[in-house]
Amino acid sequence: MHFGHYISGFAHLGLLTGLFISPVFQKDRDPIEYSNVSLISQQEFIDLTATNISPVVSEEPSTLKPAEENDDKLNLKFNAESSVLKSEGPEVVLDEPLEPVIKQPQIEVANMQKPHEISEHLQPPVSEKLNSLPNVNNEANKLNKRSTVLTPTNTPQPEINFSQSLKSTAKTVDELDIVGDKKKASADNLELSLKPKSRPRYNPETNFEDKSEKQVIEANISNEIQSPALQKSLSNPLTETETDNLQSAIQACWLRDPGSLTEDVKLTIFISLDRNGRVNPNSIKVIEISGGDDDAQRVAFRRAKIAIISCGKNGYKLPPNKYESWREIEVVFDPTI
Amino acid sequence: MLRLFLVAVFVSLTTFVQSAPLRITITEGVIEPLPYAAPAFIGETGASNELAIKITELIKSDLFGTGLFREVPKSSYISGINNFNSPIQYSDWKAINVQALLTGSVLLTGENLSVKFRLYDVFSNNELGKGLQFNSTKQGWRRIAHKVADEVYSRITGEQGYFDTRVVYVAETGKKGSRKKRLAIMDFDGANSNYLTDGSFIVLAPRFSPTGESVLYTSFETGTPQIYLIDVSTAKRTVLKNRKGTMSFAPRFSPDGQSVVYSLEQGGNTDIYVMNLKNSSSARLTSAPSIETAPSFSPDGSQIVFESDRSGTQQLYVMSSLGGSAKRISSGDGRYGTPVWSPRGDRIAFTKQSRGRFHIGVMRVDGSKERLLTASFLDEGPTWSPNGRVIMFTRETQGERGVSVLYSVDVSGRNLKKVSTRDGGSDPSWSPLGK
Repeated sequence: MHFGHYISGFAHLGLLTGLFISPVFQKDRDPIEYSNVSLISQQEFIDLTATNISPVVSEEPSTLKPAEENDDKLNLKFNAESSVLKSEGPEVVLDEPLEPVIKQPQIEVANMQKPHEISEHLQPPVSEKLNSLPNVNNEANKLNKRSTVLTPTNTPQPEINFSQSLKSTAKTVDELDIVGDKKKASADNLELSLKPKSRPRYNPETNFEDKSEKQVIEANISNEIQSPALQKSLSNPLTETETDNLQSAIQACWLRDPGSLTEDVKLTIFISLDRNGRVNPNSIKVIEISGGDDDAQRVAFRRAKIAIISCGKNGYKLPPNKYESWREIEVVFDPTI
Repeated sequence: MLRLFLVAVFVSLTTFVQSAPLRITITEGVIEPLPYAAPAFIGETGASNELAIKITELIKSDLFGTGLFREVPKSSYISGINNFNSPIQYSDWKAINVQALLTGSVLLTGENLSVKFRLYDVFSNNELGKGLQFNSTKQGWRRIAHKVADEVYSRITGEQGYFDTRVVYVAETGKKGSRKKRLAIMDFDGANSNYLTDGSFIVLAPRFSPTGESVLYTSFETGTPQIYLIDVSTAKRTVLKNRKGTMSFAPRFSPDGQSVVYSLEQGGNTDIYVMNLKNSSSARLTSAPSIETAPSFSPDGSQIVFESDRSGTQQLYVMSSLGGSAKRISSGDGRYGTPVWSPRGDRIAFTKQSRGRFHIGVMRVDGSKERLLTASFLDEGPTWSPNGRVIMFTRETQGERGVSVLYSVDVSGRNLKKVSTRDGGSDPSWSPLGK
């Protein structure tokens, strides 16, 4: 199914290997410096050569003496306090420091709040939420304006007061966090993730200092390609029939409502499955959504989520030997077709 | 730089070489009612028990009537609800494939009634929205039940409910040739029906105001059709005056309720006019030699759809609410009439007569995607539920004993059913929500 990807991947690998072998990444040669050249006279040349002094050759070679104990006072002494080796010797006074003193820029902490304070700020206390509710008496007054009609059978409509919301026993759907790009999905209870988070990542602990970068990269790429699971997956994708069976299993639980605005909503959901074909409920994320208003998108997501969970509650029937092919799935729900 | 470049290459390559997630596309689903459970609301006192059961039954009736919900029978329950505040055993409800669970309690103290409910999204192990409590008198139990049903419907479908609404219509009694026609008003489910006029004169085409406080209708009280405005709470009537020798009919409010668009016949020609209700001034919007009638505003008030026979047959046209040129939007075989703009603004409902049959249909506002929802000897006069989801209309049966009754149908064409009325009924008009 992803054969083209594999071909392209190996082509890229070959290209990069070629780049490493070729001198493309070798350090550039020193640039050529140009300077002006002028002629000198014969006399100037004689004068110049006459000043050259031939070296004097001594009959006895000079011998090297070992340094005496106090000679030059050049000793290395371990400084326990600083944990570094410091030289102790004649004090050298310099007019200016050899190295410019680099001052650490002062960092001002700008009125940062503790995490729990931020949380409190974002989530107003329940009492504030209650205070922000509409005036129930006004609502009741509006409701009371129902008719009394001509006939004696007419009875005045009873008053109905909207009381406060009941205290929630659990985190509500409306309170779910939004993660990701609101432009793509602004429904306030969708869990969004533009990219699945479980894909392989670069290991930052890789030590590039110990080995050459080229070796490290080659080794890692080699390991990835030679991983048995991946090899198996690459050579053993789901067949068309197996994919169709999975589609049929999910759509059997996807409740559609042809008269509603959810019929305009197209969404793509990422899920991950365990080896038994069971969906990890926490993995379900919207990665793309379009059409409909916020309410319709929220309902469309819930319907899709229920379809995936309810039909997979006993595990989707998928070939265990191809787990790497189906451990992560993007399911597109498209009622607009 | 080189190191950064190599790291980037490594990261992208390892990601690339790893197989991308399997991608499948689902375009077909199942069109079935959503399974939910609504154990009887708990009566918090002995005196509350009877009302708790009646309220639960009415909520379930409202939801069932939409065709979108299927109650999972009590005999399937693994665990029950004995206390409103008890934690929910989600696994028990999941096991019997309940997707939404409604629980509630009722407290009747003297004449004061208090109803609480919670709704749960079983497959998310979460409450769906927050619990709510309604307070009223004992007499208000039906409205409270409708309000709970509205909340449940809204939270599950993402659309407004329409259970706490009313319908004004023409109640018809007597034989076909000599029927008494009275304005009547009732709850959307047929309960609490009452007459607004006494039947001395023929009345036609009642239309609710956007606030639900008054109704426009046409009456033959003076011998020629004239438009009246009646306050539904006091039954006080006023006539919208027009020039002598003219007939005015087919009125409908603008979305802001400040003006009325209607048809006026003068000298054999019928055109569309708009009247400002504050100063009673009128303006003519069409000036064709043909018959223009049945105007209906778009929800934003910027356009009007109406029927006209200017092309030789009765067709639908759309024009600016200020008048001017009109664009024909109907294009199929047959004749089109009584167009009504959807509260959502995206569709127009209409009556169509074709090949000896009458239909209620919907089309996009540009005339595309026409769909006929019904077919019978005589279906006509559609009105939208306030959420734009259901259409109510008149169905008349054939023959000397034929009667007019009200029907409703989902905008998808499903769930066609008869609306309960005290008498025969025609020309329904659905109120705004909560009116």
